[in-house]
Amino acid sequence: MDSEKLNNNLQNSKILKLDDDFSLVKRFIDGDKSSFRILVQRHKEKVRNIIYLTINNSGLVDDIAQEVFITVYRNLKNFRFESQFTTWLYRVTVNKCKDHLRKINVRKIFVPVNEAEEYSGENFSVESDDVSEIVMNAINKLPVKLRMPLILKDIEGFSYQEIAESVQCEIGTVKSRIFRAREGLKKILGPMESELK
Amino acid sequence: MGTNKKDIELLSAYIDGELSKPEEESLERKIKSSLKLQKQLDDLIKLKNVTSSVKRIPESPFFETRLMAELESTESGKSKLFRWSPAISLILIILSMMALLKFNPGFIESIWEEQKSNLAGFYKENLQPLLFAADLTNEDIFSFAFNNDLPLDQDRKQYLFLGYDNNGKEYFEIKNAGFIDRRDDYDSFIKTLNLNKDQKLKVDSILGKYAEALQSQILINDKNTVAINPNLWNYRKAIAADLIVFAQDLNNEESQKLMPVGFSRTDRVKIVRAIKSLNSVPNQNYIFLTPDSVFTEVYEFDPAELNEHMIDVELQINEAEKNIKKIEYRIRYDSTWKKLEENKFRNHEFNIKIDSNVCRIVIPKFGMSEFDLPDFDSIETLIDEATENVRFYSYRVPKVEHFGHGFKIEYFDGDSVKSYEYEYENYNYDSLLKSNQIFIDSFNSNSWEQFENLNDSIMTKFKFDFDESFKNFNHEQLEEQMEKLRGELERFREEMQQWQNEIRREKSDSKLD
Repeated sequence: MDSEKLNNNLQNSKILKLDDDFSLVKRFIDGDKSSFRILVQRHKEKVRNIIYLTINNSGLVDDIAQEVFITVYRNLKNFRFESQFTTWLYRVTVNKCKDHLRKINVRKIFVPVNEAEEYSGENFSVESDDVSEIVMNAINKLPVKLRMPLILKDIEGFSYQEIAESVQCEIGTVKSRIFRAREGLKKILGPMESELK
Repeated sequence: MGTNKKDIELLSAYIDGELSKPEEESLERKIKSSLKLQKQLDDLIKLKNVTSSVKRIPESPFFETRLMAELESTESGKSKLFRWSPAISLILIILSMMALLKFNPGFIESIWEEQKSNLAGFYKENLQPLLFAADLTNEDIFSFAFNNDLPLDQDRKQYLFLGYDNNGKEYFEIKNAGFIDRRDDYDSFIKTLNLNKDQKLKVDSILGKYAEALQSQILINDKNTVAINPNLWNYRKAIAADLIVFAQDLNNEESQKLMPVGFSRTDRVKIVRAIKSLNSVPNQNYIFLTPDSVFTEVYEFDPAELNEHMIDVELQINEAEKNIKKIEYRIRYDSTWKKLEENKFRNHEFNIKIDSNVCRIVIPKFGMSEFDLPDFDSIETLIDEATENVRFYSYRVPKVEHFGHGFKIEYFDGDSVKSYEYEYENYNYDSLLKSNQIFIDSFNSNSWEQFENLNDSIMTKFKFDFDESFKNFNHEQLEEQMEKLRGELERFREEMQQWQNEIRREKSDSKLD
């Protein structure tokens, strides 16, 4: 009985949350620009984290996050309420991250190797004592298409469905990519197993 | 039970809670029976714990502030664009118009035609026959036949005048009353023919018939529009011809002096035939003279319908008359017209001449209808001659004939024709005074155009009088005559002096006596 009640509450709170984002978006479309600030406040940290974990360069996080919210601001009037606001927001975030990484790869071709490493932020060091940093560096060794689903699942706690919508692929693909990401991560972190304990 | 890659992949989804219930139960059974799977599961859980423990980026308290500032500057950037939007719009419109005109060159013309049509529609509203609006009388109709003028308003302030210019082209004028010589023309005509009361009634009925016909020939409205049917010129000739022919029937003897020289029975038949054919001409083209334009347009005016609904129409007319009564064609003369070349106007359909008293519209392309107008050309000379005779005998307008060293004036005094010859060489004060008054009377003010085009008509009139009077003035002759006059006066003074001396002498002689 208690678990039923809890489930209902959770469901209600979820509905309330959905309604909250939707009502803010609706208010924005109706001309209340201040509602956009509330949406930013509510979702900015998750957006910044996804960017941080994906590109592994804290100096660029806010710039890319700003690009994300400006894009959302300009296109919000066309929001069709067919999916959650966050699904759309994270899809924009993932795409901005992909754009950034693509630009870095292009730059790598034209600049010396040392400088290119500075651009990418891939300054992996086995000597680091910080577990978090070791894991972050290991994750960044993964290809982007494996890296993103893993981050969204393990760090941000997305469901496979949400990940599929954000990175725009099938659930089966998400499942497979996460598995392969974990397999790759195990190999990268294998030599440092003792540090991780 | 062996383990395969598929099961290990399922383990990954299992720790994420993403397997279906049957998949989960099936996998759990396998895990229980497989040490390898249990080891794999432990490793995956440890890995997930490690990755989940990754540090998050510290919060950014100023992120929204920066973002909102950025959004605001972006918006104001847009508003800067909006500030230029009128200029951008104008450029776009110009480019669109250029493209439109390139691919559809007739576009402007079609708009122009549409606007012309709208303007014509505006001026065609509420047109009423002049007959009602100006209360035309039989005298007015008669005067129209022989003087070519019709009053445009009840107060007789302005007149419509029909004429032919030096090139024989038809024109009409709106002119102020001061330029129209009003006489008792109709009465003079009746008296000339010695018509009795019954005969006068018959002439009245003829004029009444033409008054009815003229209903559809001149229309006016409260918008200062005068619409003239080109057939009006023919109607004027027809009225004159009809009256002359009828005068012959009424009083053959007296009418002889009005008839053209050599007027035959064949001529009479021609005239009657032309008059009859005139009424069958269904001309719906009108020349519209409005305060801002002159144009030709088709206009359907149905006099039969007018007669049928006469009662309603009269009520309407009475109502409209309040406005129509006030019709006064304001002739506004812009002196800068003088600077324009005359040829410039000749390119237009209508040749317009205007000054502060007269507005003349010359119609180069007369006969706009596609059907033939009645054949008045063959009898035109006869009608003109008869008209001149009526003017000479009935109105007693002198005839002026110029010759090498002077001119001859003829006029009818009621009994006989008198003539006076003016010799420039034999000029003297008496002849100047006498002839000048006759000149002013006989001066045809409609000829002002020939002297100086576009000059103010009043000034032209006085200029004409002055020039004609003093054209051959010889100062030497004047000085000679003045010298003679001084001599006469000197002789007169001497005679007076002698007379005074004689009187004094007589007085002194009587005292001595």
